[in-house]
Amino acid sequence: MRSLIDKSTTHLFCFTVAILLSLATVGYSYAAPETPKDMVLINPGGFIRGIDKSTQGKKETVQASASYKPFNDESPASMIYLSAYYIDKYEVSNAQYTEFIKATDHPAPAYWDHHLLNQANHPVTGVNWYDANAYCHWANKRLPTEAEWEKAARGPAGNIYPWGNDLDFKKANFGGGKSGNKKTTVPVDSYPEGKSY
Amino acid sequence: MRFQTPLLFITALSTFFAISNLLYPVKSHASDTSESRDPVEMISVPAGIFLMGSGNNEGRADEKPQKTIYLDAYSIDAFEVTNKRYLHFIHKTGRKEPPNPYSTKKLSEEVNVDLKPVVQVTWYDAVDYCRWAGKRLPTEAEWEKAARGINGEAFPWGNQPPGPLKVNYEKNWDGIHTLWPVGSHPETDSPFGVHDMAGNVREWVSDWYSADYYQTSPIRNPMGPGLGILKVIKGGSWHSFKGDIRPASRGKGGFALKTDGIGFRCAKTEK
Repeated sequence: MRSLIDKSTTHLFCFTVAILLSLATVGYSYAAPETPKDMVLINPGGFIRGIDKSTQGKKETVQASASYKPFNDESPASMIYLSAYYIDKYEVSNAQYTEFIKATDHPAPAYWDHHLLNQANHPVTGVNWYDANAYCHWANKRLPTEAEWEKAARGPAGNIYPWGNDLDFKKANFGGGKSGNKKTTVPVDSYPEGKSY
Repeated sequence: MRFQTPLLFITALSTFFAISNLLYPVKSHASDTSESRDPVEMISVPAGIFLMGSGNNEGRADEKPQKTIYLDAYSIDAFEVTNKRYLHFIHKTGRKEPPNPYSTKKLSEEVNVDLKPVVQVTWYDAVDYCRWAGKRLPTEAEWEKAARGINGEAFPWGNQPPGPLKVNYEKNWDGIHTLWPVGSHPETDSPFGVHDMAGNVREWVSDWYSADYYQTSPIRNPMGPGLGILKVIKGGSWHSFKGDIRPASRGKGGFALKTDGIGFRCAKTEK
C-alpha cells in the first residue's frame, strides 16, 4: 500500500508500454486504491513537454551533450497538465506477451523466432500498433498517450533524459552500448540507474 | 562443283550458328543450367480445386471464409532450401553470406548444418535464389494447397493436433539443435508428400498480406493483393504455438525481416 504523496512512487523506470486509467475522478482523495503490480502512479499536475528552439542559445545552463539538439517537431516547449494515471514500470516482456498470445490465440509478432530478441525477460519486439493495443486491452489497460509517456519519462521539469540531462551508457542501451558488446535488446530491468524522475 | 555449293553454304551456316550460340547462348541452354543449379526433388501438384482458409469453428478472422479455390498445375520443392544449397548460390553469385545464428563463425564454417533449412534471409533473398534456380516463390494459395491437400485439413498430416516429438514447435532456442534437418520427419508430410510444412521454419511466399484477402480473392489462381506493406510467411517455426503452424494460418512480416526461423522453398508453373 503506497500513499499518494509517497515520493518513492514517483521514482519510476522510464520505458513503458501500458498504463491504467486512473484517479482522474478521485483527485487528491486519500482513499487511493493500491498501485497495481509493476506500475507506478504519476501524480496529477503539469510538466514541460517538448523543447524550445529558442532556448538553444542558453543551453549552457544544462549540461548539453552532442545529441542535445531538438528536432523540428519537438517545439515549442509548453506546460501541459495531466490527470493522474498509472504506467507500467517496465516495457512488456516476451514472457508477458507469451501469456497474452496463449490466452487469446493472437498471432506471434515478427521477431518471435529471433533467438537474441525472444528471450523471456527481454522486451517484446516486432509488434505493430495493433498488437500493442490488443495486448493492453487484454491486460485491462491501454496504450499511454504521447504526453503521458513523455511526462512519465522526463518528470515535471523538462529533463532531457529520464535520469537528468547527461547522456550515459550506464543508464540505457543505445548506440550499440558504445563498448560494442550490446547489439541487441537487454532484459527490461537492466538499467535501474536509468529510471526516470 | 555444282554439288559443293550447298555443302559450303551449310557448313558456313552451321559454323555461324555455332559461333553465335557461343556468344549469345539461347534460352534452352540457360534453363538447363538453372535446373542443374538447384537439384532438389520437386513435387507436382495437379491442376484442380482445394479448400483454402478456415471454417467457422477454427482459425482467425484473416483466414476466413473457407473457399474452394482452383489452381493451375505447379510443382513445389519437396524440401525447404538448406544451408548447403543456399551457400552454393551465395558463392556462385558472389553474394554476402547470411548471418550465422549458431555462433560467431561464418555460416560456411559451421559444421553439421548442411541439411538444416537456411534462415536469416529476407524476402528479396528468397526471390533472388528462386529466380537464379529458374523457379519462383510459391503463392500463398500454392503453399497452402501443397501443405494441407485438397480437403481442408487443419495440419499437413491430418486433423490430429501436433505432438512435440514429430513437429518442431513451441521450442526454445537450443543452438545447433534448434532447427531440424529438412525431411527428417516424413510422418508429417503433406498429402502431396511435401516435407516440413508445419513448424521448424516458417516460409516466405510471394503474396502481399492483406487481412481481408481470403474474403476478396479470386477463386482461380489467386496471386495476393496488388500492393501491400507486409509479405505473407506461412507455416510457423520452432518457437510458434499451435495456432501459428496450421497451413491456413497467415504469418506476415516486412520484406527485410530476418529471423532465426524464416526460410523458404521454391515453386514452378507446370507447362
